[in-house]
Amino acid sequence: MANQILARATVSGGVTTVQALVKHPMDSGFVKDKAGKIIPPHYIEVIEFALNGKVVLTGFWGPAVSRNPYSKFMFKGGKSGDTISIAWVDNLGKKAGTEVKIA
Amino acid sequence: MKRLYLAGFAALVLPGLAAAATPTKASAEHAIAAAEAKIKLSAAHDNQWPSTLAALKSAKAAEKKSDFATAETEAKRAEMLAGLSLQQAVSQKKLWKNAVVH
Amino acid sequence: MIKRDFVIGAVIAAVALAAMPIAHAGAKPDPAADQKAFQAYFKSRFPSLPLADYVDGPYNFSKSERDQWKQIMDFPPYQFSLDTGKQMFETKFPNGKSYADCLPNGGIGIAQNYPMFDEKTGQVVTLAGAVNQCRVDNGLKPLKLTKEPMADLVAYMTYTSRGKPIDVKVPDSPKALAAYEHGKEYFYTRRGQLNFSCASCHVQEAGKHLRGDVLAPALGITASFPVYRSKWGNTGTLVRRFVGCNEQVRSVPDKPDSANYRDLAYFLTYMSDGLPIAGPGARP
Repeated sequence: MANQILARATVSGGVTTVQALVKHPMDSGFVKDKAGKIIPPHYIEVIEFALNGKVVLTGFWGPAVSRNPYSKFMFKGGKSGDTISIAWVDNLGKKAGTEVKIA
Repeated sequence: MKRLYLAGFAALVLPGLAAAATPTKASAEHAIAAAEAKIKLSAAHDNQWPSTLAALKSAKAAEKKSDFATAETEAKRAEMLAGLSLQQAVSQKKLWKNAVVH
Repeated sequence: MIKRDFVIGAVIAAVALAAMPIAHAGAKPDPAADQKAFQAYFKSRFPSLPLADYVDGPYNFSKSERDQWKQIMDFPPYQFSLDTGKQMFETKFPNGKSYADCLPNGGIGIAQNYPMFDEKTGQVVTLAGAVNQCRVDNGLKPLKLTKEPMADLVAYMTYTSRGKPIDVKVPDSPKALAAYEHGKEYFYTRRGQLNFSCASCHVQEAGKHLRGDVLAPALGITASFPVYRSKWGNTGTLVRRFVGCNEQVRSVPDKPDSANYRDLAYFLTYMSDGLPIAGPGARP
């Protein structure tokens, strides 16, 4: 599906900064709708950020993370043109991913 | 403001003094009808408070369960709240001009 | 003796009354004068704040909020709304037409002109209202005014107007002036069990804290709408905020397409003429 993940990666002084905005309802399973029924839990469980295929950050998210999570992190390494890939899987088994080049 | 408080206080105390009679289905329905009439007035002035509607709702629910005492109390509270919001709307019709930035 | 005192008293009273500027009930509304006074008032409240900066609302009054906002805006949370809105805008209707066929300038770069007064219907039309009219005219159902997808579409259209000065007009016609005046009255009228008016918070207490939030001045407050509110977790329109404000002062809100809200938006946006469109925005 289009627009699932927006990401940007830049490098400066040997340090790469990655920002990502992930579209996901991140329903905790504790919230009720207007009719009083529980909205079923639907949240990302694991997200991985990789540099040229090698994982640099694993996020164990879960129901405490809010809707459309935004992440920003830095790591030593990476250079212009390298590929940052992002992939997540949620509690319903759905997956999504994207790739961006380090600017 | 002070008059508003006095009116509200009076509205709270006086019905209490009068409610010596045992609440019946008829008196509860009468109280609910009075509340609904007042609520209609405040709605016409475009100023309704959620607490007014909540009080009416609980009055009707109590009446359905034949709890006429609660029904009457809640209905009278709804009527009072509607009256306050009506007073607010009417007085604000003139008073709003005082707040205009100039 | 009494008669002389009475005459003296009456003369003094008459002189005093003549000297007092009395607002005649039924005096013709003067939107331009109101706007000038409104902007001058805030200038006197916050002398060092440039006019254009008012569109950043609460961020002018809290360094920590501003810093967080700057970080957030590096990767704006309304980006999804913009992408969805652009897609919606460019998608043709089943009958082959599109929004570009209904709206002035093909619907691009027009947000600064809304709300506008429609003499034919005698009503104020917001951008969202114009979008819905276009949909209905082309056989589609109107969208709900408060949330996505209408908020997405309006976000995109507003984005195409970014930087353009707000240019709402109040024509010199009785109906337009009445709608303007009605919006002005709504803004200053106290309502709800908490007895607050819009002015209570956004004029009187502008720039101050209300619990954990900072109150934005009413000047420039419409310029960043629609907004992605962290509280909502998605994008919402000005009307959505009106409903929320009503609820917060314990007043039963109107229906989203009510004349109250349209007239209020008309007055409020007109007060900010000249300030740049900054929407869509991000707020706490």
